[in-house]
Amino acid sequence: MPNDPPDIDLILRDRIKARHATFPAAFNNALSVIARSMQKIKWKKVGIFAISLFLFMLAINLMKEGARGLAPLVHDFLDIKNPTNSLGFGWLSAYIIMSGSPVAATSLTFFNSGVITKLEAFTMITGSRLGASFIVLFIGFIYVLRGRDRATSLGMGLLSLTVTGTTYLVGLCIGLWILNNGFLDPIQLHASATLNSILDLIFDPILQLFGNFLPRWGLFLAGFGVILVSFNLFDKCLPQITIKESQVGHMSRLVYKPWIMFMLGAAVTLISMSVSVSIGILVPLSARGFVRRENVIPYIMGANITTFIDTLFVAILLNNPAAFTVVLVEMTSITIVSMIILMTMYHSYERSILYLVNWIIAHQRNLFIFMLVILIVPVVLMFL
Amino acid sequence: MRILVVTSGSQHSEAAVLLGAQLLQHMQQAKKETRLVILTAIKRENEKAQAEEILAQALSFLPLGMTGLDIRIRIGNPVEEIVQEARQDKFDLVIMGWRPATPLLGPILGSIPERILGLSPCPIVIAKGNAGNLKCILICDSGVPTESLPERVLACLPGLFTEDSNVTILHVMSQISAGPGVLGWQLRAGAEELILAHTPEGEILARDVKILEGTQIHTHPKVRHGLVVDEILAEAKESDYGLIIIGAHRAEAGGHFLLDDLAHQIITRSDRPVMVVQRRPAT
Repeated sequence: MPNDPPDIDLILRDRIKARHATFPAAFNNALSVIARSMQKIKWKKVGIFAISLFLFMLAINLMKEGARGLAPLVHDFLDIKNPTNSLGFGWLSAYIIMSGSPVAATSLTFFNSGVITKLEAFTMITGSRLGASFIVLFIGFIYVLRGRDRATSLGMGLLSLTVTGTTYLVGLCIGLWILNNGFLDPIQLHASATLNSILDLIFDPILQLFGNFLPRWGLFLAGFGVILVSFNLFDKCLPQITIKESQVGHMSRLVYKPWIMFMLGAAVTLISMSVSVSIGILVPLSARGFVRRENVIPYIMGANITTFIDTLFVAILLNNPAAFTVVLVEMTSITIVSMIILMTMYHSYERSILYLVNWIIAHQRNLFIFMLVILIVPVVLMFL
Repeated sequence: MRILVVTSGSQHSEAAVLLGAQLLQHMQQAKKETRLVILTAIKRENEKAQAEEILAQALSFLPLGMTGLDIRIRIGNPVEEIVQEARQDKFDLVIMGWRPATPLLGPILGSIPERILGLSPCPIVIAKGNAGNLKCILICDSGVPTESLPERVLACLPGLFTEDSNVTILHVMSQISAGPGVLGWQLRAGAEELILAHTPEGEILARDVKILEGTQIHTHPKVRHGLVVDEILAEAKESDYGLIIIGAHRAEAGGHFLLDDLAHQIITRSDRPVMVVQRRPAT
């Protein structure tokens, strides 16, 4: 017996009725999820983040205004006249202020004001990262002076410094070649005109206020001070990213795959903007403050790329396409070097780096030689 | 114990046949009932003569008068047929040679031994180099707190260890300190110090020793410091072990094993037989 044809109108009416019945429930569920998420947000940290972001933007504006005032200091007193000098200058400056990001920001503001050239800005940023990776080693050295064991105190600092040193120095050559040929010049990211005018509206009166009682170079110094405060505040508002014990079991299998650790290092540093903070996040994988030799090198490599994200933000705030290219080339060249190592020679690279670190730690004399070299090299570069 | 030796007639398979024969003799000397089946898989029916030649060649490597031997031919996809044979006849162990994957598609598809390793229902020995002293065994326990590798070996292959077996449980501490403030004596400590201090590595070693000594097997815990693969291979060479036993993890999805980077490196770089014991899936 043939079936009766279905009543289309009835089916449609039923469907509409069902949708109306489920919509409020789905909407309520979504609302409750949002409400639960809102309860989890630490509003104090959000406030600190907003302040640090404001101070960061203020600092860039102050440094931008004041950078030109430092041209005589850079050219005549410090005698920075080629990319080698600026490499040494960036390196030494990061040693002195124990941080790389403010030095990288400085190089871009100098470049924006015409105090240094594009190539000099590029090498100064490279120098800033080389200097920044010395910080973990320096802290470890203080522990050694206090009587702690050399290998435990210096291992991570040396590893971080040697991985950064080897990849950045090769990356420097690749980067200079890319910059000279302008391969990445067409890729640009700008702040919109509306955003720029809003920022000008906010910061112009503050700059005028500072300008009333500070000389031009004083604006730069004030900006530099403000950027240090903003980075400190930013560190305070970072979420405490830890891997739960239950997740460690699954992770432990993945951490031996260099590519996974490379991407993890890049992703975590993208959020934390600090290589030392992102290395700290690795600790729960093996607990007790230990990390595995096998997984830390690709992790540092990944972290070394995305650590430029704040410098990229500075370039966007400066609204200078060439400055953006400089940072992009920096990130691209380090990515190229890291990928070549991971794809072609990772295990021999890993063994060579660990051998070097073990050699440095093995004797007080070796450590002294290494420390002397990394202190003298930037000074020599600066005056070449 | 039922052992399945897989041969394709290649040079890599020769090592598998010789190791199978040695294991059979070792078990028979220990008065443990053991059967050894030599299997070759062909893709088509008309390759039967070739398969018979491969098996004849395999038998020619074995000492005359060996008992407990059998030969088989299966027709079809080699990986599927070998796994099916191991499953149907409930073999306790599969022995096969190791041919590295092709550089182009290898990392994606894996070599035939790798694919068998992924689907096998029982432990697999990858025969490499000359078969040494099978009484001297190195078990590399990576330290999974929920499951002891020696316990898993005993469960899968109760007949593998004999009274005169000499087993070393090795744990490689590849950790370094994550920051300057860490107290790192454990990063240089030996097995005994770690066991006495009840550190996580010490607890794992103590647990493994207890399990094996409970079955009257002479066991020696050892800790080495450095890169996991390098240290395992160095230990194997220095003390001339006849067999290295490692664990491999079962992937939760797909139901087969993912040979992780370390297991793959150990198999590829080892100059002696490596047994891969599949771990139970994480719960």
